[in-house]
Amino acid sequence: MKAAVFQSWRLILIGFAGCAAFGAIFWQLGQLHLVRGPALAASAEDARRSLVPLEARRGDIRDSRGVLLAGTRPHVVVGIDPAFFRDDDLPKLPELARILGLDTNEVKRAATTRYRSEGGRPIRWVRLGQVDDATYDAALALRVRGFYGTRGFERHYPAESLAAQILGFINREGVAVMGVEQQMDFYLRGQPGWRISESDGRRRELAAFRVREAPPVEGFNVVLTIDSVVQSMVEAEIRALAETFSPDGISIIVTEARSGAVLAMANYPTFDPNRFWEFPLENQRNRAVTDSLEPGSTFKIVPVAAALEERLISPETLIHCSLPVVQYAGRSVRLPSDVRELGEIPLTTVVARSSNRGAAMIGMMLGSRRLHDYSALFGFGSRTNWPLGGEIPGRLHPVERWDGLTISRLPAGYAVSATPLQIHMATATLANGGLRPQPYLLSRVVDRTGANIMHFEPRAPVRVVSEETARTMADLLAKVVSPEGTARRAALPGMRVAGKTGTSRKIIDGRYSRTDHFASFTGFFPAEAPEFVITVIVDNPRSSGVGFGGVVAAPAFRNIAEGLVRYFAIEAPRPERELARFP
Amino acid sequence: MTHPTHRPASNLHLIVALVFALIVVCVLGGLGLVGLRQQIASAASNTQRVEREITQVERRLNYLDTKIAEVNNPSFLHRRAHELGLGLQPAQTGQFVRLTVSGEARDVMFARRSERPVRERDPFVQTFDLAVMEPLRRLE
Repeated sequence: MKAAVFQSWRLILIGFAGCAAFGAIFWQLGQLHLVRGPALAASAEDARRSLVPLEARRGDIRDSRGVLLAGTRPHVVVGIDPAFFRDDDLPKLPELARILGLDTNEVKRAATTRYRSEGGRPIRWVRLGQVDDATYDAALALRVRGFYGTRGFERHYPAESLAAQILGFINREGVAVMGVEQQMDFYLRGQPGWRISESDGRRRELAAFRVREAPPVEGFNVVLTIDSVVQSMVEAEIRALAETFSPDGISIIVTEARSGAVLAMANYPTFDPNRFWEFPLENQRNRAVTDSLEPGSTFKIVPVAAALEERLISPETLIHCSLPVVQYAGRSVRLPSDVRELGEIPLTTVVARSSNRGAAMIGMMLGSRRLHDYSALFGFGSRTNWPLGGEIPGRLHPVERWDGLTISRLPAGYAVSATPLQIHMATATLANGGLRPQPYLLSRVVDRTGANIMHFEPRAPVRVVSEETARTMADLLAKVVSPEGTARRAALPGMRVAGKTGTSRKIIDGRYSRTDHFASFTGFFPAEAPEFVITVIVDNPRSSGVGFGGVVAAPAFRNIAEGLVRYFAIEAPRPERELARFP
Repeated sequence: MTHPTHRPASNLHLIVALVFALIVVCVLGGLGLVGLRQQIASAASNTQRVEREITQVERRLNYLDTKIAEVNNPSFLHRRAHELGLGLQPAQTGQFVRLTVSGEARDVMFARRSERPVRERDPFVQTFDLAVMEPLRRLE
């Protein structure tokens, strides 16, 4: 009986222990599945699943002929992990250094220095440089343990500094900083994608368990009106000018006469967007739209065209250019001086010889209000609608704020400030039959296949003067580029060029400097049927004599124009140039 | 009163056969499933490999594009011409000879008539270097 009781007690104990054990297991199972289940499941899911971001390739910027100006280039950042490097691979290092274009000792040092000199902490990875994929593959083939790279993309500007201030650049944080890169960033940057997948313990993707994928959408390509060949000609001319005259700055603009399409726009100093950090910040400035100057004699086209339009004068009208003081609105006004006394000369000679007094006389014939209004119509004092922004409006004071001298100074291009682009567009007005075009730079946005996504048309031009006046002005300006004019160095053989020189003194410390000045030339050709407008502005050219616009800027104009004639096979509209005519 | 007892024996055979069949189906199904999973994994890894290859090719194409743009860049061409001492100079304005060809003559210059230029204001202009023109003159 005792044994039965004992047995029963032991059984109960074992049963209880068993129940407790199973209870604990069930309790734990309940905890794991019911209480902590969702959190644990989420944690496991997180560990297994991975969200892989898929980078979108940034679109290209191309010129009007499809030449790549800015693209995205793959690269590999290579390095070596000294902790994984084995001494057996030491004989391979000279070959690795040769492939990477590095010094053997440098590579050896990187591979064998396992601890930092300060603190003694282990070195995990030493950057050896940045190479292309082919070089990386060749280096990998050596099977040097610890050597590996990270593949990535970088923005690349194949033409280096060509059109740098127009293109802009992408900074190291991947932010578009200026120019087309910034303005068209929305279209260029594309849409990054993502992929939800599962990965193994080594974080390698298990492709069979891909759940969802949104592929990246490549950025669109932006096509500009810029022609890289013309841009290159202009930049070569800028380099030559900089070498000859050591100026503070240069801006050259080339546009099509009718559409206002910008074929080239370049400045000095400039920078290479591939290495933007190596250049002073001021080199990034597109001086053609951000800097202003007093246009000087290039402004004289405004009062002369206005007076012709108002039929106050004709090309034969005699203008008295010897009077130092004249009466205007009941008071004496002192006129600006000329280089030499010109006497009473026809309007043609006033323009050809760039007489300040003649221009002042014409300005006074027009009167303050009309002079101001025509200046504004030619685009002075307001932005030209430069599509990349950053443009300043220049300064054209309202008549109410004019002092007693403005009426005589403004016609000669003082008491007004303008950007090189404004001066250029004023000249382009005459080249375009009296219609002021607006700068046209962004031509198209296309996808990868070349299909148009957006097409930009030139903006509607503004009527400033009649076609007849524009034609007369072209004839007058053609005299400037003749042996009797101030810009004979701008002349092209066998082709009539119309243009205007300018030499304006710079204001330094509130006074007109006797030494520092701007030399400029703005013109178009062929004068009879203009194709291209070119403006050359040189800030403070340094030469033995006075760096007049006709001496400094006009030859640069001619060189560029000759290049354009060759490149576009422009023929002067003269029948005698035809050497042979087939039936 | 006794009942015949043959039925349980025949049922047992049937049950054994069905169980066997079930086991066979399960084993084969399981193997099939494993095989299918294996094929899915293999196809996925193949896809991944092809994707990697496409990425690599695209990377190389991008690189090639930028390289082509680099060597087409006028500054680069000038520099190379200078480095190689080729003595190349752009043709001067006076070296151009322009020939104006009438519409009919222009037509025969194209093999496919439909592709001839149709714009009347866009005369066909051909330029020759004078060096090329000299032998032609001698032929006259």
